[in-house]
Amino acid sequence: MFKKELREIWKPALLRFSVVLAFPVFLEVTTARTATESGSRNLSLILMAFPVVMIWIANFLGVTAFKAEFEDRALEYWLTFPGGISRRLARKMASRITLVLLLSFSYVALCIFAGSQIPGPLNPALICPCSFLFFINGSLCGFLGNRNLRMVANVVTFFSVVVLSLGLSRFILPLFPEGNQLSAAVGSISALLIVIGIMGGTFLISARQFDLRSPELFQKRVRAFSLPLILALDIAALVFRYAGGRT
Amino acid sequence: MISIQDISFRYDKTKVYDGFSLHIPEGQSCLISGINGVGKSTLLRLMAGVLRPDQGKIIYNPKLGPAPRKKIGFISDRLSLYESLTVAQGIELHQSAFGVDSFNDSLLKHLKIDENQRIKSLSIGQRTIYHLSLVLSARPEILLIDEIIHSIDPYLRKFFLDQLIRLLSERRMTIVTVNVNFHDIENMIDRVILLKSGRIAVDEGIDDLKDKVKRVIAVQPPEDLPILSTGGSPDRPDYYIYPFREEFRRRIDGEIIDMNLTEIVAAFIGGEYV
Amino acid sequence: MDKNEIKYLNFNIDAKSAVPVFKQVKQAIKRFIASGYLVQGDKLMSIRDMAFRHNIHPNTIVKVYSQLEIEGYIMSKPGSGYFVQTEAGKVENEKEILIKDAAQDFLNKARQLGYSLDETIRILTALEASLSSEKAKGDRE
Repeated sequence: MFKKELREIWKPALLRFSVVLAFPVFLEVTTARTATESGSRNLSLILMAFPVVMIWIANFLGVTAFKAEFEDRALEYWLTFPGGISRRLARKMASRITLVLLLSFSYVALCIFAGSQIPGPLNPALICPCSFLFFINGSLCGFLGNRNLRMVANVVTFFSVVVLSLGLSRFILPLFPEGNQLSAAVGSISALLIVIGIMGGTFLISARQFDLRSPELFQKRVRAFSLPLILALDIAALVFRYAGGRT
Repeated sequence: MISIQDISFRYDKTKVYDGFSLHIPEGQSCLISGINGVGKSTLLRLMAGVLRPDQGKIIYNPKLGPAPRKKIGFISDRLSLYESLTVAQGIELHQSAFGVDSFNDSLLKHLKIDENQRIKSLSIGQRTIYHLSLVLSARPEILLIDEIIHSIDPYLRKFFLDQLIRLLSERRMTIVTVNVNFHDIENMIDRVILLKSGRIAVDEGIDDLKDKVKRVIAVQPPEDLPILSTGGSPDRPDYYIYPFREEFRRRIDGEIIDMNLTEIVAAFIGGEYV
Repeated sequence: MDKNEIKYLNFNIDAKSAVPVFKQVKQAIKRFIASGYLVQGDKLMSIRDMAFRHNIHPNTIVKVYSQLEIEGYIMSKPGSGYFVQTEAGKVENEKEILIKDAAQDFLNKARQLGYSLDETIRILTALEASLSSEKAKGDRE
């Protein structure tokens, strides 16, 4: 299964990677090495672009995890594969998780190379877990059979992470007297965990039997319950964040 | 061997099975039939593990080990496969998933299937034979076949049956097939099960069934004859008798005719026994 | 004839018949032995080929062959296959069973149609005569 999944993901992943990093890399490569200023600026650009592309690809890898099963009508066939649920899911996700890990290690390597130039929130200790969490979040959305719902859920959860972390920041900021940026990252991770908790919980209840009925059940519950709940939390977070003036 | 123990299963709001049990011993060749929509395919999917019962359990021969699905071959009427893969890639995937290292591609060559063409471009006949080849390459001990025979031409049907017979002469397999159309496979069946409303209405060996269901053509059949259903024309009706007993022969003034499996099942369905 | 060449047995399974499939196959093989088509030492079709021929489960053929072996009509040579093994007495017995069956059917039909025994015998004799003369004509030509 590794080979099959790899075949599905390497081209789109490479494409996204290239699209985001093409420009900064191009600048870095073509700029004369004489002026360290422009060199470091280009490196900063790359350092800022890399997390973006990492998170984007991680999310993409998650959301497309079950694309073949749904669009190729292969779900029933996949369910005939031997092994328990965990084993089958692991074999399926193996190549995707590997790619996320690969990107993480690459980012760490890049940061080491950049030395002391890493701005706080781009610290790999935060970005790497973040991208892994976005992968998990994407996968949960990926288990929705309906293509439109899948897209909507992905957008809503993505957007909710931003909104919820804004709401959470009022709590979190006081915990980090030094850095606003670090708290922002922690806020994002916490928000992600909340969203994953809601979607993940729904998934676990629906996919308990893990059979042909699971995706349909999950879909129903996401539509009726999870997404409305997440949106409600978003509104509450926004109200909470901006009520009583800005902090 | 498959042992379905007291299962309940619900699809949406409909309870399809409630406290249903069925035991199929090793090596038996079993036909499951009934009216359309009664839940035959659902039962087969439950046996294949593609659907899981809400209550109760399904046990397989313990010698299949902890991962019984490795030795279960399931060919569904949906012919579910990863359509974007090529034929060769599909074979590779199946082999890695089921732990098989060899694949007999003589069938594919015979049907002139190019291993580089995409699975979605195969015709139904080709796809059926391809799916069958994949499933049989894992040398299953339990084979579950759902209704695919009638959608392919007679030549491919014979082809399919020949592959099945070839495998049967090499190893002991438990076969469960769901059909409404079975003249080709009649002679391969040991046991006939007819379902009605989530229950087993008829469960007999095929030879017993042929002894017990007869077509009687008589002007005035005896009153107490257990008539399953009627057919023929109004002025010369056929009476389908179940269960037939040899002693009836003395009392019937008319012809007593044997029936083939298709006619027998039709008689059950016609009588709404099933 | 090469002893390893297999004689083709042409018979059909009557799907409608209440006679079980294995019995039909068994009776067919016995008929071929009784009629002299299959003789001592002839090799039978393999189990698989026999199963292919009629879309029958190979286990059924296994049952047929093992019963025929027990009854002494055939014998198995491991690695080579199944071979016909006839005794004159057995063949005669089988022939008698077959002819009696055919006669039974004929007599039943005659009775159903209302013919007396004398009339039935007259029909038989006339039929036999015309058959012989046709045969004689055929021999001359």
